[in-house]
Amino acid sequence: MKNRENKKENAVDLTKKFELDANAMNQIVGGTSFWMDPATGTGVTVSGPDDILCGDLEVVQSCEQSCKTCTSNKTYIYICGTKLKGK
Amino acid sequence: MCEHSHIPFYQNTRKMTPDIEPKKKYQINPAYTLLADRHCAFIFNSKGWPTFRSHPEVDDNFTQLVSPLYASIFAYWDGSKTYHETIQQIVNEMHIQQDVLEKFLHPCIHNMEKTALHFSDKEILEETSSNWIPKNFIIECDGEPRTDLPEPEAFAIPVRQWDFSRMRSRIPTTVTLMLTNRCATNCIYCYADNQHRVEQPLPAEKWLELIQEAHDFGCLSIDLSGGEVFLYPGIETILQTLHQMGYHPYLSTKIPLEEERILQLKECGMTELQFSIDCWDAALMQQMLNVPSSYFERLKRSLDALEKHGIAVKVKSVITSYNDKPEQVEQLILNLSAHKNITSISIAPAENSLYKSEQDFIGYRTSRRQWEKIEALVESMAATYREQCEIGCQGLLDSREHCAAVDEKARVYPKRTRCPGNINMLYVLPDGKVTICEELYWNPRFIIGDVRKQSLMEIWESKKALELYNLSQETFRKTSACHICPQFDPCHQQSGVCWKMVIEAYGDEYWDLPDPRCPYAPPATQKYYIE
Ligand code: SF4
Ligand code: SF4
Repeated sequence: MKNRENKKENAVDLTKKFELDANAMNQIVGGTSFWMDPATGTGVTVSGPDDILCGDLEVVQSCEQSCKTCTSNKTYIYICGTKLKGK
Repeated sequence: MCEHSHIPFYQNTRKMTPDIEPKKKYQINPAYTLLADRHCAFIFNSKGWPTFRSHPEVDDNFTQLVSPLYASIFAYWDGSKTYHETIQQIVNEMHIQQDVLEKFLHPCIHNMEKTALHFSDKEILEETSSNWIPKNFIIECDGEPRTDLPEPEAFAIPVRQWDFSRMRSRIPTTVTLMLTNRCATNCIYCYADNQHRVEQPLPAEKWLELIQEAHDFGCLSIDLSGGEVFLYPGIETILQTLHQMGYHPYLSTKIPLEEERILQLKECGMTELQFSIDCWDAALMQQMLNVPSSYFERLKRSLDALEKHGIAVKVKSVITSYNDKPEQVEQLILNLSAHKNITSISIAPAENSLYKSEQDFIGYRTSRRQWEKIEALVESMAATYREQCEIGCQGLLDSREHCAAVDEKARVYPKRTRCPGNINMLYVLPDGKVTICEELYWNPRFIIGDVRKQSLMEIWESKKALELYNLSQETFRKTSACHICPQFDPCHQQSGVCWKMVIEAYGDEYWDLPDPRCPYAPPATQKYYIE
């Protein structure tokens, strides 16, 4: 095992490695991305990486895409970020 | 109204953990470890986690794909720093706000139950397999910090590379070595391909080389199987090496071991053993196992010697039409429970064998009626002996599940147990051929390599192994529902189908029909279940 302790003393910036900014990190961990109720169009807060990353969110009711970050079961509801669309 | 509108809004139902002490150190429970993969991360039980006994305080056999970002946060919890210091470090290095981070982490600390990190909606929870956190995941650290966890950086995979749709890990985390297919008994209900003649069994040095390789690439569990493992001449050295490397292979036998042999094996690190004992009657044993009449007496002596030398014993009893009377099972349990070292008795119905005829199976299988009587008896006896020994029945491969109505199958099939073969498990046969599942033995369709010519990792990454995982829907016959099934990829790459059941139900030639438990599956053409 490498010297974990020493390594951790040197402050690293993991956001860069994830290629996420602090805002996105907080969104994923804190669940501040959105999940919209398709009936009302009201945005609600959900937790998790399913639908993160997306400043511009869009409700897609029958999603044919397979977004890399989506863990949703496709029979339910899917929110794809514009950044991920068309991948 | 929209079909999705029944889904309730998110609510945070996470229980806040009330008693975290900022000055105390916390770590990931030594029962669990993290694995960084190419596109995701996994939580598994730690290397060498003993599967012999069940551990009520943790989840055994735990495999979970998690977001690399979560894994990165978890990897900080090695127990080297206090709670407060660890939180500060994560805040600094990951730029996550402290309140957000703590709200995320608290349900994972001393969590009494397996916890889903996501939605509160029950339907989604059941459907989404991702991001379950095992029970008591992060706990107070009362010993040394862990040095076996990957660095948080190991999980820092750029977000565009994340992919949660594939369960196959970058290494086989479980490797089973079938040392021999020779047996000391010839049981009427044997499911194994023990007729296959192994001309050139691998020598002990080769097994040791494979163990070293598996250890070096970070394999978490190495098991030994047979045939009869104790008939393999180099078993002592292999066992000793495994124990020295921190592995605790599950050993199962039907050989009545002499006291001297028990002592030798104990020196090599053996502390526990599974013994197969189906009845407590010499004549019946002779009939079921095709053994000499002295077998039963030797078995009793062996049980006494195992008790004397403190080897824990788990008994597995297989129920056939020969031994399925409740009074036979009762007699067996009464006699076994007199041994203090017997920690569990597990009663299981004999299953079909791919290497016997349907008529053979119909001849030896028990009936649902008898099995229900046995279940009732075992339940009542289990209560009596609870303090001393775990007694229970294993599930029945029942026509009710396999011939159920389509709606019922549609409800149950998505929740099937995941097939680990070629997803995180490899199985090495006695001649060095490598298959994805023990029960498929030398079936050429599932042989993915040969350790005489390739390393384990070469086999894991071989074209054959990857093709078997990334099966092309096109290659499935047009008359198979799988050929046009929209669920094809998730079905094969996440939970997987049970190839053994497909072949049992339809025969080897029809290996590309749906899993017989799938709602789209045609009725089985062979009886491989209990009725
Ligand atoms: S077994 Fe075949 S038909 Fe059934 S869900 Fe899987 S791919 Fe579809
Ligand atoms: S093919 Fe079936 S029996 Fe074999 S490992 Fe997979 S689920 Fe288990």
